Amino acid sequence: MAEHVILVVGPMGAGKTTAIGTLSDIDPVRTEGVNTDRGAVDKATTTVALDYGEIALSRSEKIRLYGVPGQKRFDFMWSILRQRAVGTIVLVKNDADDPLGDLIAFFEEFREIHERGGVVVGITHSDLAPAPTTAEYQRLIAERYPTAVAPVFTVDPRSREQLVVMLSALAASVDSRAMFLGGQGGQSSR
Amino acid sequence: MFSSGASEVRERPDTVGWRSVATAIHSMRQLPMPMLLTVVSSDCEPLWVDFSTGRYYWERPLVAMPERPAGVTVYSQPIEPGNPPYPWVSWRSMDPLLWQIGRFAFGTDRATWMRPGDRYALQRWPNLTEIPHTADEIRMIATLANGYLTAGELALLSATDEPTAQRVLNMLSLMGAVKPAAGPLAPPAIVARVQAQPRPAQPATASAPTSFGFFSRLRERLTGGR
Repeated sequence: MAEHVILVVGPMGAGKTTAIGTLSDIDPVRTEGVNTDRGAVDKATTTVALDYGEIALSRSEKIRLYGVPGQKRFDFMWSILRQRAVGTIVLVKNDADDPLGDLIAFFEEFREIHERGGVVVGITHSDLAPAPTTAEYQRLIAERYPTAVAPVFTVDPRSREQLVVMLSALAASVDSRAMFLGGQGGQSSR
Repeated sequence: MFSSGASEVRERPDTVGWRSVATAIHSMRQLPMPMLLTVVSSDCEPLWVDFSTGRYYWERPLVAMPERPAGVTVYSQPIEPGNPPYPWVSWRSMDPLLWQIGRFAFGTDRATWMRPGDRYALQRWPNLTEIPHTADEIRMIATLANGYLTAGELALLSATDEPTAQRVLNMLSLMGAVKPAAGPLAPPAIVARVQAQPRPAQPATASAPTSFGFFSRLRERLTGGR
């Protein structure tokens, strides 16, 4: 059985659990508990361990989706999972106090995957907070991580269609990066 | 409010529908001062494009955009900094408009500002959740994220044909999503490697490009290959 691990990461309340539920073929495994940090996010429950979902590509190939808790105290899980991950969906809550800072914090954690073309960014809650714009996120990523261009899209985690676009961009990025890395040289680095 | 003096309004006469609009938009983007573009057509409502905020207003939904608008005239005028025009209308993000104009303006010909053999690389992904696109287009955008390519090379690496690749370059260029190489560059090594591969008996199709296996299987499963 061929498997592709894709992580869904982001700060609390960004929509990770919802996104996995929207994409998964199976009833997602959800592990929620009481949010002890109501000052940061007004949400009764939040992810305290892993969320898990699956997409079967064929009878012999599947995508495993892992929603990873957003709080920094769970970052030991990030390092275990990122070794197996082909890609990462970073969800950023646009109406958070410092969404650009949130993005960079997660990007830094998953920088290695980004170098392989494996990171796609989804901006949630942009209907509630139109700024920062996708262009501002793209500019920030380009300044900090100029070796690869990451897709940045606005997304509603309840929309399967939009999440499929994100997954598609992620898969195309990974495939094309692998193709170019297989034929190294010829142009100066970008 | 923007300046409205007649002497500051420049009229650009019609040539061929969206082609003249695209050429005007591309030249406006190079200007250091913020401009408002107004497009008037005999069969469409007026279209406003505000380059100071990167937004547009059009009563007509983009899905109803005519492929060949008749009697197009383009007006441009400077905008006072910090004073965006027509604050009472619902402005929308410009990318979907430019994507659509770029699709219609030149067909599969090269955009007027591009030269044969120019190489382009992606500098930002368009927001694909808000613009209609095909699997081919996703593949081409991802390919451009990895190096400077001509339309022919982009077609080769994306398993599509050169006119289709040229059209995508036109669209991305109009949006400012690709950048041209500053000087002469050799093709990436992957180009020679793919060229050296034996040609398949059948032309490569969007559903079966060998270098985009994960992507193709994912699209096949989640969208039926569209």
